[in-house]
Amino acid sequence: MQAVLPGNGPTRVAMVEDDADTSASLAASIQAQDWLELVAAWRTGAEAMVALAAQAPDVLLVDLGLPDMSGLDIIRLVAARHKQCDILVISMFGDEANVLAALEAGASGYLLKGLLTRDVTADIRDLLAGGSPLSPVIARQVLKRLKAPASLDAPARPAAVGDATLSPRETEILNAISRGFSYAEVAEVLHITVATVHTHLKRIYGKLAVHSKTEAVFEAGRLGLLP
Amino acid sequence: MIVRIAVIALWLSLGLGGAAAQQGRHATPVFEFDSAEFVMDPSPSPEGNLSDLAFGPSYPPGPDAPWRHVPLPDDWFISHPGVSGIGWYHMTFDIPSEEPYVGQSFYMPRGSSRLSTLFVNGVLATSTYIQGDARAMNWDEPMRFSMAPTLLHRGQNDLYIRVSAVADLRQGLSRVYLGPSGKVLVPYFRRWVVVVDSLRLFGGAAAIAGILALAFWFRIRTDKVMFWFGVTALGWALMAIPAFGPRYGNQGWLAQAVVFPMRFAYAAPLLVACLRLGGARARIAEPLLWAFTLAGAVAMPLSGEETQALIITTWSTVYLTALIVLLVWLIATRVQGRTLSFWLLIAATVVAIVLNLHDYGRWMGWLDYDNPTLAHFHVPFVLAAIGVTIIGHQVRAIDAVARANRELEARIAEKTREIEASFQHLREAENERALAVERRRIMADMHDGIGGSLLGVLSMIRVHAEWPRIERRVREAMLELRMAIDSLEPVDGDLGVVLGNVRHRMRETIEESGVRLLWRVGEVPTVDYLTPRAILAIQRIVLEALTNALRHARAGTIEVRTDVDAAEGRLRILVRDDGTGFDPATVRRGRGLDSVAARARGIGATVEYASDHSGTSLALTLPLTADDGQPTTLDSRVTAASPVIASEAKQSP
Repeated sequence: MQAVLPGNGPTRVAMVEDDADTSASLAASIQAQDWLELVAAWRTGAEAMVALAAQAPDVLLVDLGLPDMSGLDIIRLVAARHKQCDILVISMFGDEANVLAALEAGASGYLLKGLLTRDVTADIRDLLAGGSPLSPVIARQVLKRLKAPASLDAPARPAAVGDATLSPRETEILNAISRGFSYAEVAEVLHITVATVHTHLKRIYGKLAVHSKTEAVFEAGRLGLLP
Repeated sequence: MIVRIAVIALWLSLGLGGAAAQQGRHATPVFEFDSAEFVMDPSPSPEGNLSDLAFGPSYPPGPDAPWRHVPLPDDWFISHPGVSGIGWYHMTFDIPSEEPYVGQSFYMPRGSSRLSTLFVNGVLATSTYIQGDARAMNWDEPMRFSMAPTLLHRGQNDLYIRVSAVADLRQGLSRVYLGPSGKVLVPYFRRWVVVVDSLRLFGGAAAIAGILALAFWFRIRTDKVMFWFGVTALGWALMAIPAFGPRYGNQGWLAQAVVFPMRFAYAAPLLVACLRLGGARARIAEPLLWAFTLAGAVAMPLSGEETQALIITTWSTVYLTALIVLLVWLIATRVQGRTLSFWLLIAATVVAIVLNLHDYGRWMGWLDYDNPTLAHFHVPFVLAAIGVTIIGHQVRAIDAVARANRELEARIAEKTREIEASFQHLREAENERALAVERRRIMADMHDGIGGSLLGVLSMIRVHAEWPRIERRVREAMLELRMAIDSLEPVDGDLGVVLGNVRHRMRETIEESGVRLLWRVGEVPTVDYLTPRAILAIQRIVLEALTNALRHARAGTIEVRTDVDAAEGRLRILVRDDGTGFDPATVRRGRGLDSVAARARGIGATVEYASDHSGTSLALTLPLTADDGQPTTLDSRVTAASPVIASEAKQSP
């Protein structure tokens, strides 16, 4: 967030992408913007892990399917060590499984590969403002995962999960997004600004990360695997 | 029939005649002595062996002795208070000459003395010695002697009865009957049944019931009422002991020791049982009762005969009073909600009080001396109360077991359901996991395979920008691929998400076209048939409609809306534009309308087109549930059809 506004110097972007074409395409887009500065473009996870601390980028673009490791590991590491860094996943399809895993690992959003007619930097701007444009499927999955335990048969969740349940407003937003409404439409319907929608989404991503840590424990408890 | 009636009549008349004949043969009068001449034996009361008393040399006083007339029965407690000694009774009777001498019997309803000896016409006929000493008992059995014919003769006969009695023990002489055995022995045997047989019967039953009750209690120690029932019943059994054994010989210490228990053993346990059954645990009354009982039991064998009588009177009075008080208390305070055994015990107590009052009245000389002892007749009620209690316990125990079994079965069933639900949950989770794995595999394939290739082609095309059509086709293929992947995503039956995905994928295209999109997708109920194929079908239909509107209609505004008709169980998705319109009849094939209709049929939906110069609308009407017999997925023929966009592109210029 810190580097979005002009006058703060360019936003430092680093990238981990093994596909040369994609890497080149992204690099070109980034370098074309003077508010963005591409500080590194790594080809492997190992390279990235070694050099990350030195570069300390503001934005990290990560491909999940790296040759030597899962991009999720890098996301986790960066989310834990470099909290100021926004992590964006480079995804071919924006499919639920990959994106949700990335969001849970600590990513803030995703970029779609091959959106040729749009400048990818617009996406980066959007993402920095508040996160990826959620696809309806992912919005629905987030809704499902973070909804308050209202059903009667659900045992009491661990207290920590209380931090990871959605507020009514967040639920409204996700519900609208899951039905295909754009952020602007959501903002209009709810009588809030688009920026507020972005803020809510940021918070939702945070809850998703918290939630993923307790969910495993909760699931085990629900299945009677824990006392 | 007539013969049969005649036979019956004959049989009856013979029977009656026989009875009459019998009556005639034994027309000998029965002598009932309700008075006698009496004199006390002047000689000092002999002590020692009963045998000596019975058969030692003894002769009636002569006529010059101070005989006086006394009525029978003669209760010495009334007529000779405080006396202990030997008295003589003299009776005479006349046997008419025509009467036979044989078959005569002597009968006394109550053999109530230490010893009675009969002298008939100066001859020692018999003695109650053979029936022992009655002084310990609360009851006196009837006495009878068969008269040897040689003892009697025609005319006046003399009958002397020597009685050794203790006045305080209510001894003396009852009425005396003499007559044909056939008549005299009838009341004798009746009385024997009332006084002796019933006592044996009840005593034996009480002993068994008492042992049973105690055995029951022994298994279930918490059942205190059962314990006191048992002890009470055994107390009753003690009462019957003298009815079982002969009572020969002198009064030894053992006999003295059982005098009190035989009279009163039942009383204290019965009182306590009543208290406990009434739900009371009397902290003062119970110890007092036991102390009182113990005092009586100890005092009795240590006392002389006179004192014994006093003890019997005192203890009887106290127990009777206590029983009456307890009964009144029980009925007054514990009537509500009591069981059958409670009422049986009440009945037993009432009967016990009445019969004991009768016996007590006789003891005190208020009632006829010859009345039989009746107290033991309340025992059956006590036994019934015990039995009902035991049965009640059993029934309750069986009920409890049955109930426990039912509860256990219910719990097992519940557990089974839980386990099944758990298992179902696990299985569903497993299925979901398997689906997710499969999805990831397909995704990976697409990432690494077709997707990657397409992307590569795309980047090449970017360089060779002179191939815009190829680029568009590849982009469409990419879109198609993404839609296919979207169809694999879990949407949980939410049509809104399906529609939202179409818009998500179409976003760029729509934004680039400059068309205003009115997105009016409301809350729609979840539907249960959204398999990937159904999702893909719906997405393609909507995509087709949007693409047509964008590409051919030259529309300024496109509206996408959902309407739910809950009553009809239908959901309508409407895609409407304000473009130039077309004639569905002529351009049907060209715009992929046939394949749209086929896809709609495949998921049990219908498609309606309306198009004129002011615009075009496509209405896709879907069922809310899949249970109307329609296939829920596309059949192979439909899926084999070429993809929408590809077929459409073929037709485009």
